Amino acid sequence: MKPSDFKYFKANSLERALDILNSEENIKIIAGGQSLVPIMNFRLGQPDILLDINDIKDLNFVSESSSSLEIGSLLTHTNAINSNLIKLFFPIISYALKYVAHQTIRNQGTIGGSIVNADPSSEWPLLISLLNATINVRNKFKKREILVNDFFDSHFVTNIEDDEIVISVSLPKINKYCWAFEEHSSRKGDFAIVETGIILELEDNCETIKNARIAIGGVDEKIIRLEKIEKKLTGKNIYQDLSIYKKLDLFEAINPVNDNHGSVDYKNYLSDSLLKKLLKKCVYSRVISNVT
Amino acid sequence: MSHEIQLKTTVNGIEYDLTVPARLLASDFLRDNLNLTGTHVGCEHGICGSCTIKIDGLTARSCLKFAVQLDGKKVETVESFKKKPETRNILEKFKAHHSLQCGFCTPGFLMIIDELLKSKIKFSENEIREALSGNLCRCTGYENIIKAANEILAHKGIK
Repeated sequence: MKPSDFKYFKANSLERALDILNSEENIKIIAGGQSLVPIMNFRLGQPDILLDINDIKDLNFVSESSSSLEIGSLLTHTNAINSNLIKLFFPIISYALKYVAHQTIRNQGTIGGSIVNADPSSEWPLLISLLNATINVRNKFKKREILVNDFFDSHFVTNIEDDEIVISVSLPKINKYCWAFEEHSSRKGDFAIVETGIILELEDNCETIKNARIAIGGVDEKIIRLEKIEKKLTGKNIYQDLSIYKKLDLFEAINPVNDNHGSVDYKNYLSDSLLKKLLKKCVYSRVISNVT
Repeated sequence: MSHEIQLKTTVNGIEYDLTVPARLLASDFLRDNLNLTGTHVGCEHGICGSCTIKIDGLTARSCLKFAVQLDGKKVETVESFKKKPETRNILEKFKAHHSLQCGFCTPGFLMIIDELLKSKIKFSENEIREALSGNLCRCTGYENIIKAANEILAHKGIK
């Protein structure tokens, strides 16, 4: 359980990191290392070079513009939970991140590391899918903005290139919405068997759904947005019409597999009951408004 | 030949300047190079919590850090606990409640409780249980550890 040999570089500026990424092969970036180091300890990953970016201060921030919140890739889960800006605009993030492992892991793990690891049971990948994020990446020569729909490819696979680094994640602000998040795991802190997040954007009357977003994780090779159900909910009244949700629309969209955490039937059952429960919870949650 | 890196770090107040292999885990560095064997190596993939240390005041699993990443950092291990009254108190409460049997997991629990003690928030018993659930113990059934933790954290002020 010891990693294989590698060369270690520590970059204290983004330019230096991008130079190294541009000139070397079989290189892995280490941020918090909470998923990468176990992979290396098991020798599932054997990079020739480890590039430590923890000293790049420019990647550790939360900032606000008129239309969005931008989160630097090195922000740890603990710092995200404690961020007042995040709490104000997206309390769903502060809430959901408490489901990430345990405090010791949250002290070290980062948003950038979590999204490039692209585990479909993880919280950050679900949150950025739900929040229609844009992922800002760059290599030595150019910047690139990737919409979250195009970012995740499959289990542990993203569309980021070998010479690119995640700079930040931009989350468009939403005015007037209610939200809910929950996940089910065998023990607190384990990876989710199923996780679900809902955001219902509301019209000015605070009752009619302007735009529904539902994301579900752990039941496919990546986070799934339940578009058919989202469309059916749009225009409906949150206090009257949520029974329009049909199990079949859910089962059609997800693709769980049998594994040591449960059978396909069990995961379908969990997904359905979690979604029903969260739709109810969402309706009775506090509406987030006037935060533009 | 493995790749070697120069490392300057402060562990329990003592400065070290050494050359170590890049692939050396922080847990092995503390145990084998510095002879600080209070940090225990259990699962080596971040599950059991026995190797928990503090880096710049925040807990971290030392099996998920490389020794070279401790460069320029202030590290605290369980060996520092005897030096300060507040951490000595944690040790005494563990003793009073018989919160350990074999003692393998104990350094990790002590680190977590110390982190809870230093945070500004007052914790409910459920929150304490939840915070401790990241560390595995195979002897005590946890009850005595929770009793000690509750007593240690009971008199903490509310923010």
